[in-house]
Amino acid sequence: MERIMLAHGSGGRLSHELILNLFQKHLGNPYLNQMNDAAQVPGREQIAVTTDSFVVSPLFFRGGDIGKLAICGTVNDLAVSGAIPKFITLALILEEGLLMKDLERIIKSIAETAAEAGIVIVSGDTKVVERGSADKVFINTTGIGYITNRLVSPGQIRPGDEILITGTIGDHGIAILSEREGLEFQTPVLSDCAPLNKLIDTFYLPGVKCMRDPTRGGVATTLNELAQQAGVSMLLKEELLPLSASVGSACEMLGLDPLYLANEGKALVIVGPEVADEVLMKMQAHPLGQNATRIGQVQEGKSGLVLLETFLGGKRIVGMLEGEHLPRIC
Amino acid sequence: MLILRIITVRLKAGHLTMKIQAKAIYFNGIVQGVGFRPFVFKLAEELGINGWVNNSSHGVTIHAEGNKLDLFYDRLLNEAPPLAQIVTARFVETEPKSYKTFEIVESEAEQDADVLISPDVATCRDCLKDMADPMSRYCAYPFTNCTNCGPRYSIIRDVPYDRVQTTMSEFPMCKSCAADYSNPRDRRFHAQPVACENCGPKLQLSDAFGHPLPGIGIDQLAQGGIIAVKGLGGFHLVCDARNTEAVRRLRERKGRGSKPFAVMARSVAKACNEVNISAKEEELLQCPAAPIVVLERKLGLAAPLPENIAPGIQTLGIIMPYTPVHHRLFEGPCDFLVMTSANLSGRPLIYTNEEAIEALQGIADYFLMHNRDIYHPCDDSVVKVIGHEIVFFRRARGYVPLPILMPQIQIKTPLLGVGGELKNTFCLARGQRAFVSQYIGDMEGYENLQRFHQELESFQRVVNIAPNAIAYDKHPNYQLTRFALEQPWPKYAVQHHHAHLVSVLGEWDRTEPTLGVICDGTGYGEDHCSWGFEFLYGNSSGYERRGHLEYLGLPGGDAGAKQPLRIAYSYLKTLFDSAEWEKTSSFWSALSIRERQILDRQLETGIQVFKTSSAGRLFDAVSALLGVCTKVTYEGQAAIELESLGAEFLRQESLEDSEYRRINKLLLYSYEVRAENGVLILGVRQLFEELVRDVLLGVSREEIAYRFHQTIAQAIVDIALQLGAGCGPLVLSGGVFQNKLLTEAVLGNCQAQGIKVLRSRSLPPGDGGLAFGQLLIANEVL
Ligand SMILES: [Fe+3]
Ligand SMILES: [Mg+2]
Ligand SMILES: [Zn+2]
Ligand SMILES: [Zn+2]
Repeated sequence: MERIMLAHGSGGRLSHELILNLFQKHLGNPYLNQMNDAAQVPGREQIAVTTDSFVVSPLFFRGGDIGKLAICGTVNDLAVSGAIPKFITLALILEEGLLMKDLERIIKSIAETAAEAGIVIVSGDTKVVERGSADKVFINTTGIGYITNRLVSPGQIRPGDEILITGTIGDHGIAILSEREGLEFQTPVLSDCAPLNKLIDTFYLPGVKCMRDPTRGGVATTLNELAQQAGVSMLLKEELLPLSASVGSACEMLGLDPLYLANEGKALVIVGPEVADEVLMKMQAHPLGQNATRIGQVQEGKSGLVLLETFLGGKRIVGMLEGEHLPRIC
Repeated sequence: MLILRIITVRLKAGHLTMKIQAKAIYFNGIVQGVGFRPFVFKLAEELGINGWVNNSSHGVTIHAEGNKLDLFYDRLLNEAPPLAQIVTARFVETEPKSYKTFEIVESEAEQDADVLISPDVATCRDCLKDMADPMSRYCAYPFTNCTNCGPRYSIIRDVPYDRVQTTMSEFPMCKSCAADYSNPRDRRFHAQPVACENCGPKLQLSDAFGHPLPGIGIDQLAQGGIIAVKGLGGFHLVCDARNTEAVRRLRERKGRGSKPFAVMARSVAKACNEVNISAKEEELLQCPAAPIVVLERKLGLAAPLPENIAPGIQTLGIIMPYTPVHHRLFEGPCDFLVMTSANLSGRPLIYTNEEAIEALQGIADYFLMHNRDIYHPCDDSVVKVIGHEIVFFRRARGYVPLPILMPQIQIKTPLLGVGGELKNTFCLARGQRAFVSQYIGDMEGYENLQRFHQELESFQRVVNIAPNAIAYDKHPNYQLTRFALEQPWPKYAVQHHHAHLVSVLGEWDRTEPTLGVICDGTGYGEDHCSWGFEFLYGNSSGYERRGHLEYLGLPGGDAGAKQPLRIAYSYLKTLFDSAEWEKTSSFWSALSIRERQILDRQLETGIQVFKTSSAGRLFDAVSALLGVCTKVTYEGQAAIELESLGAEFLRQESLEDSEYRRINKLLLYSYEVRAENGVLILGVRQLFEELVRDVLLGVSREEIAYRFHQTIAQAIVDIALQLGAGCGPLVLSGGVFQNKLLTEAVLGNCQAQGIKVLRSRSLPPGDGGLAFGQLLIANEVL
């Protein structure tokens, strides 16, 4: 069977075979293998729950694919909330005609990433829709994590705190864009898609006040939200922004601002100034945090105002993204 | 209710006759702080008229009794002091009160004042004489001034204009100054900033670390030093303009790219050695506003001012000394001083001593500062004479806060127009007057945006208008769009080029629908494309878009706009068929293969390609094709250098009135005008094909640039005629009409066709005039 057919989602023999030969084969574990309507998992009094849906074109891109993205997105949402990611559910919506080998590739990638992140897939569902009713594969996940004593929330952010990021920015955005539009840059840009929970485990210490993963909308949007929630102002420095050479030149050519590009394997971490160096050193010691750096500081000032000090020393407002950046030069 | 208070000497009783009459006379406009009352006083004395004159919050009021009242009134109107600007004058017959004297009386402040505040004024001849007179108390005093000159707007905190309301309140007058101040026969009578060595502000030279030095920096300038000089509206960076190395150092330290520096000349006579100066231009150089006048460099000079003052162009911005401090700087050997606004790239003009010392570390070698605060930072104004009329590039010191008067237009409710994103000015209006602020800067810079808020706050006080409605640009990403949306007032978003059109109409106090050609950089269009070469028909009530340049793709948006070669690549690749495209391969060597591949993909997929009908980008593209400017370091650079090249052709060939003019008609490039859905579209495929052919044939760049300008001028008038321009008026607006070569060609064509033209006259045609147009349009709608 080369392609997904409607019958794969009918609940009949084909569905059963798909589960057995693909899902269980790659994803199987004691919880999933219970094959109950609901998985029974060990619990806690307080858990963290997150849900996310993933649609991406193309399905496969340099540095990742939709499956890896689904696991990382969910794991990262839990991890930056201070939780230990434990369990994840997986709902697949497949378009009739999807190549079976593509699905298998995605499932394998899901298995690998889940293993790397140490999260267990405990439940799943598959629907097949008619050609044109979906774009190849949509994935919905729910993640469950155990709450830790890591107190991270925007409410703790104070003027003087340092803003750190665990690595270069904009890689995922440019990787997807160049793949989708067939743009060839000097060095191909890889998506940074990665589960961050292990990295966070290595650098977390009291004094880390807040963490966020700057996905859609990028660093700019995430910091705007944080600054608003915390009632503070923030100052970034353009010269400190970690940017790979190819993302930099891609942005220059296309007229894109890396601060607004999506990241799928980076955390913004706001820390008290007294622990900034230590946190940074620990980040840099981990393979996923090699390029971790300070990018700015929390300041007193108008609530929600995020400023960027440019290379020339002037400042400009880094606002929420409102549509695309239309030409303004008059 | 006026409370009159006698403040000055009484005159002997005038000569009484039998048939005594009385008139109450009212003057409004700029009639305070300009020596108007002493003028009235002296004239009354001369004509034997009794009564009184006072300053009210509505201007000047006179009660006159005598038998030469008609003559008195006429002479008041005709002989008013040089800085006075009478806006309205009227009189009523009134009952004689049998006054025995003529007195100057003063009123207290009232609510709702509408007296106009004078702009800052260049030092007058009389004050210069005082400075040169060893017997004068004011000899060499670098802050001397009188009712005919000196600081005004820049030092005013609030109205009414009185010393206590200015930054001169720090300096109590000495006895001698107080005597001059209160003597109606003295030139300094009621000159609010009056001061002398004993009581007034002091000048101090220091090194880069703030250690005081003797002198005022004349030797340091002569030795190539760079001095930060505190002037009237802010700081300048100053160096010897003849010293190529000093100029280079200043350019490097300021990180200024190729943007031209202004040059202050010792005298018009000296300036004449470097640039061509027409009578009109000389008048501008020496007018009380003392703007920077952009002038054409003389050709073939043995030792001209260094090229690096204004790289790549054949013009120089010349300004005359306009404060006593400037005049004193010319006591040394330098005839020309670079005089450039002291601001860091993308940031507002520096105007406090503290900020200067901090921000100009590493840029200025010395500081020449004084202790009179500046309240309204104000850049030098920049003008150019185009088609025998003044065209503003930047309107600030010397012109602000003069109002635009609109007898035909009534502003319904106090309004604020916030202006555009670049070269911002804002506008406040009430009744039949609109006040446009000084040039503030580009709103993308946060510090400039803060300066906008600061000035908006203080300008309201000076012009006494508290707005309760707001007009702004339709562009969703302009910083001020966000500001406007946050205001609690009724608000209205105005299309950019509609505002450009109405700005000119408003300046001419016209309300009827009119056809206009708006040639501009980019503005947000109703169809979400970036407009910029538009034929609009309308007035403040609305408009129709009747024609425009065809849409072409601007790859990379604003980032792309800084790389004209990429624009040219995009335009030609889109317009040309493959055979024509083949021929252009030699043009793109400055773009890497990778860059070209990406551009190709962008043009195929449309990713980050913005559709634009911008005139500015068209000029940029041609500039790049001629290799004139392929990387932009200041706004408008590519087009400015292209213009300079075209103008060069005209000069070199001295073709002004020669045979070439006739032949030239045949050498225009072709273009196409096609109708699409009732809208005329200017197609430029043939223009580019023929232009590329010329480049490949080795036709001189100067000639190509010239022909291009002539072609666009032709197309503008051609399309205007097809749209029924008739005998006009035709409005020309938008920043591209700061291009002298283009504008004069359009004016020539219009004249030949009998089309009357309307251009902006007291505001810039570019975005500096936008706020006024926005406001007039909102006034119709709100
Ligand atoms: Fe404009
Ligand atoms: Mg989520
Ligand atoms: Zn004077
Ligand atoms: Zn004095």
